[in-house]
Amino acid sequence: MTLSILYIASILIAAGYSLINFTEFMDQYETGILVLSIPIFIWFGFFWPSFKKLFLTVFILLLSTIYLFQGDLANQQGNFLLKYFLSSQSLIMWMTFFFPLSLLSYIYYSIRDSIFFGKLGTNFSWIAIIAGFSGLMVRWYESYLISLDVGHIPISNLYEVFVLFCLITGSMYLYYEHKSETKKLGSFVLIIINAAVAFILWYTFAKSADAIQPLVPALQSYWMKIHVPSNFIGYGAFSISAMIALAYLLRDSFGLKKILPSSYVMEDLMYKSIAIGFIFFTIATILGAIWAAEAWGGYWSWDPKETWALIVWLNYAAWLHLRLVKGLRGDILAWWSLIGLLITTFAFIGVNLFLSGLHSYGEL
Amino acid sequence: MKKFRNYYEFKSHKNLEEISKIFMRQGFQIKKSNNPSLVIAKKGTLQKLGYIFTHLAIIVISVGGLLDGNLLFKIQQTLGIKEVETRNLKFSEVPSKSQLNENNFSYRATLMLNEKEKNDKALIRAKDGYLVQHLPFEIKLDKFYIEHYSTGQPKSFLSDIRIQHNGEEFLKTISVNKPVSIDGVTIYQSDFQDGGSRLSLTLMSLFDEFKSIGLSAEVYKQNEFNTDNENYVFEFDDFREFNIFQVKTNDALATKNIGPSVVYKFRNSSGQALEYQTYQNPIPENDKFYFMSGMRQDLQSEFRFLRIPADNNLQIGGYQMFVKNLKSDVLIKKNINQLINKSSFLVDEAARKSFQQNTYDIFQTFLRSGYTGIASVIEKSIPIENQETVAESYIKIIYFLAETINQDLIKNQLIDVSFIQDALNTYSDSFFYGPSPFVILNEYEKIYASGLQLTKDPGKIWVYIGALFLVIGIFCMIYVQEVRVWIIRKTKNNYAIAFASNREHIDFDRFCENIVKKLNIKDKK
Ligand code: HEM
Repeated sequence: MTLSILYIASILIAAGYSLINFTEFMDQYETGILVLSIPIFIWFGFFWPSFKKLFLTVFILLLSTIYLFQGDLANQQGNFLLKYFLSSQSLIMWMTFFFPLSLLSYIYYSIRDSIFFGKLGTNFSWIAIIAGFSGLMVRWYESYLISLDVGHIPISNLYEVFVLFCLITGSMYLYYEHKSETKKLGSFVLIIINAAVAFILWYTFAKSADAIQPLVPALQSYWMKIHVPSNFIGYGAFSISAMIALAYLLRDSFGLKKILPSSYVMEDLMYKSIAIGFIFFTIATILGAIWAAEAWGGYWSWDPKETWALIVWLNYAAWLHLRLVKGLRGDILAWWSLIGLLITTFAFIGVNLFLSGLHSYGEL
Repeated sequence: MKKFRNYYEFKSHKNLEEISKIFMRQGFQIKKSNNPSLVIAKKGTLQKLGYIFTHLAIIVISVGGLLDGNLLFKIQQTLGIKEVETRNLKFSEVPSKSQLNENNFSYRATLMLNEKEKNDKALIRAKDGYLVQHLPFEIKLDKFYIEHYSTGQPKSFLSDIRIQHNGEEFLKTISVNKPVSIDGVTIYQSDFQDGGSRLSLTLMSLFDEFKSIGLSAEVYKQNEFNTDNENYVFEFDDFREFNIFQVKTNDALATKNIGPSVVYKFRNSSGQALEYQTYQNPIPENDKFYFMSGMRQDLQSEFRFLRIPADNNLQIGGYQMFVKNLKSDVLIKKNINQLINKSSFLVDEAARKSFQQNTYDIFQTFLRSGYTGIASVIEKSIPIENQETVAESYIKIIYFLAETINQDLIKNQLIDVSFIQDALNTYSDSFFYGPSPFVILNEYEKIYASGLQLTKDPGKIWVYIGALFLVIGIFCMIYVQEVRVWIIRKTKNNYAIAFASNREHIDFDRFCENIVKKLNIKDKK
């Protein structure tokens, strides 16, 4: 109860404060998005109660960081806490530290059936997610410290969206874990998250991609705030379903049968995550089209990203039809969802890397 | 009935009427049936709506898309009424067969306007050619400009345009992500390029072959320039006012605007062309500054850059004077003689003479062909075991002479001593650079051309409506459950109940369990 009150209060305070103080930096659409997100956040907190705790923790971490920065990016150097814990780059590094730990714990839990390690896996994931979300929020704040006109939401390049991917996939998994008691799938879902973590680490250390860059003119739009997150809810959900599919297909090997949830539960989860992913991916593609109409003068130009988004969309549309209309179940759908991940991955990174087009913002 | 996945039997004192009420409270509709001991309940008819919405959506989106496609033109083309123009013509010369009038239903056309230029026609790119689209208004470009972040990267591309429409004039500013609509046509900022900037240049010979000369040039024009024995042409395709570089300062990488660069093709009288790019401001590197100028033989290769040290005024003049001194025979001879006078080991006249000659030759070799020339001389004339020591002493001599020759420059603090080594390296390197003089930009007037896109898409609104239907439809299909329930009173207090849904998964099982629980709990009262 007190938690709910605190939760609602902090949402109202944060949103209210921004509405009063930052209106000059927002156009009417951004103000609209902010106002709309108040009821959505409140609803989401009740839909998934753990989110309240996540929100409050991130909120407190963010406030302390803002306090420590004192409005000057240079303070990062002298301040121990900022330098090693609370600056966005450190927070994201902590995320990349705890996700692998979580995977190891889940694996140990699955093999040895150690309840303690099961709890540890979940908690490590929670820590990683708290660190990651705080990292993104702090990064958002830091971008404004660099310069007011450089400031922007940190979902604008490959580095940032990979962090977002880890966070969304991780959160969705934790939601399912709690709701369907499917802890044993943790060691599978965490694989894909850790693949993304590996990419982030490589990208950071080999390519110094973690620096905050100002937005190119094409990306300066309120649309980014909804287009990109919707896409990544889609990607995250599709990845979870593919990892469950992997578990499903391996259920008869390596003595996994005893460990995994029943096939019925796994099929159900596969379906659920594809369904939610599909809805968000549909919305994201439509938002993308509307944005394209505004930025490039045409809502559909068969740009590689658009074409591949359509392919991904058709692929999962087919999957859903097979299951819902034809009543198909079992291995075929699992294989399909696993292969679907390859298609999705190509649409996600392959297009940026191998095909030129208007969407090649992330480079390697 | 027993083969249903969710089939239950239960006892209850309630009659069917009361049980139906419980279902109605859960949002079910009750269907009357002829059999008095059977009740059929149904819920979730919205799901049907889902199918309707999704399919309607696909139709609406397709229609919208077709409206905005070029089907009409394709038909006209097939009938021979219209055709794509493939020749490179002025708008006014394009035959009417390839012109589309302003009532054209939908199009995506582009228009490149120089500053102060206006037009009421735009270009539609088609396969292998183009069409001319008449616009319902005339657009004039007043000004194109770029706003920058404090780091120098471009923040915004904007055009101030003036639109004449039915005798009215509108002044508008458009930028990326902020188009403007007039009379069903939306105008976007989509591109920009140089619109024929005017440049005032000084051409400086890197090898002191001629005195620096001035040249007024214009982008896209053939700008000629003569030396005593050659006639050269500069062609500028572009002129960049800004270049954003990652510069290393105090160990940290910083993004910086390092100012204008000129890119040009340099053609000799036989028509052969090399391409050059010259940055106008010196670029910092480990607390020194260098002018960078690159050359490439063809568009496929990368520019190879010459790195010229800046003098203490951050100008290129220091290097120019350095080369001039280096090439002065008088200075060379004078300084060799001074060297000989200081060298106590040269005891007799013959030794002096030969040292003088050798030194002079070495230096001339360097002037003619740089360190590579020296290396090939050594390879040819010195036994292998001595090559290294000889090379070392030659390099020392060249350095020593270069420094003494340029004593005055150092004394006048135009250059530092450390400049000499850098400048010698540059000189030795500059033989790849080819015939172009170094181009110094004195003044410029930047003229932009702005690329506009003009879109008329009456189908767009239908595509959006269709998209909305699609989302509603998919949502209904996935999340609204259609549930049917059959309740049969077998004997007085014994009931059987079966649930069916087109989406049978775990949540549905739980849903059924819950209802049955409710029926039983009520029962116990
Ligand atoms: C019909 C139009 C569009 C479609 C189908 C579309 C589709 C997608 C998809 C599938 C992603 C996935 C995320 C990713 O792979 O990174 C994405 C990301 C993104 N889109 Fe779009 N999009 C469209 C229009 C636009 C427009 C007009 C813009 C901006 C000018 C834009 C900016 C972005 C950005 C910034 C990202 C994420 C960052 C990144 O990929 O590096 N999109 N879009």
